[in-house]
Amino acid sequence: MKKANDDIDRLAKDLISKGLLKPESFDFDDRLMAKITLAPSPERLKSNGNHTKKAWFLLTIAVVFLLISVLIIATFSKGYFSEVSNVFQLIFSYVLYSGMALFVPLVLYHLDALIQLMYWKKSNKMSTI
Amino acid sequence: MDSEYLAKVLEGDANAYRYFIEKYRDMAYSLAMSIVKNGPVAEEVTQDAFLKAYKSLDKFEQRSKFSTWLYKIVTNEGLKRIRKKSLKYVEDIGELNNIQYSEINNSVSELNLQEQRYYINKGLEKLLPNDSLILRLYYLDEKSLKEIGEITDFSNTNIKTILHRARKRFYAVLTRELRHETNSLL
Repeated sequence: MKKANDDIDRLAKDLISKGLLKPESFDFDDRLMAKITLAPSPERLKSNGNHTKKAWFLLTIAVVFLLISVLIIATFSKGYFSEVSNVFQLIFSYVLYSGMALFVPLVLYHLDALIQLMYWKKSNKMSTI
Repeated sequence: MDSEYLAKVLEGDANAYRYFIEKYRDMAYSLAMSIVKNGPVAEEVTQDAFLKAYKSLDKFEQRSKFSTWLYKIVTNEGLKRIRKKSLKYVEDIGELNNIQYSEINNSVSELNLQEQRYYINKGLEKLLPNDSLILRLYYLDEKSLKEIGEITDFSNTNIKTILHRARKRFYAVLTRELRHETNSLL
């Protein structure tokens, strides 16, 4: 029984080992390499991923600070501490404006990477068609 | 050898990726054919898989062979494609218990290499995607059951069952094809 099974196994190996197929298109490799060259390198994708992580981290911190500031101003805006609140409001607006001034170049920097990625995806789809 | 070229690609040398294409292209294409059963679609699947592998190369931790990792991507891409197009390839194989192995052996050995390749691939084409995929991985690329498990997400027992069933079905289809050929010649 075992010998019969081994023979069946050997026959399958003998037959299927002849069944390696090759792509029919003669320019298969060149088309693929053209797509590879157009694609962002793994190294660049990795660094883009890092930028995105950093951007999310900065954005989260900014939102947390904004919420804390709003809470402080809301708490101290009336009564004995209203004077303190005015100072806070002033500092808050300065921080907000300078933050925005810093944030715009940061957004533009990431926008550039985003546009490049979007452009690459589009051109890749076109070449597939 | 693979790791050397892997390092080159990760350093930014995109041309080094040609090494992987030339080495694994035919096997990747054969696996894609096992699943999608259509030449042009299989080429698309193979290209997409190579491209996907390239883009995620930094995530490849080298815990398995590059080929195992790549073939898993090919398999997923192929399955995605047949799900999308809802292609069905269920063929009535007929009687599986009355296979004459010696008859197959003799009939095949009478054919030339090109004819042999034609009938073998025709036989594999008529099988279910999982059947031909596992037969090709096991017999053509000589992957171990563990590696096949990594590629297909099947358990060892499941793979053994499929392998046993697929082998029988393959012989049944091949017998039918060869008999048909002999009858048409007579």
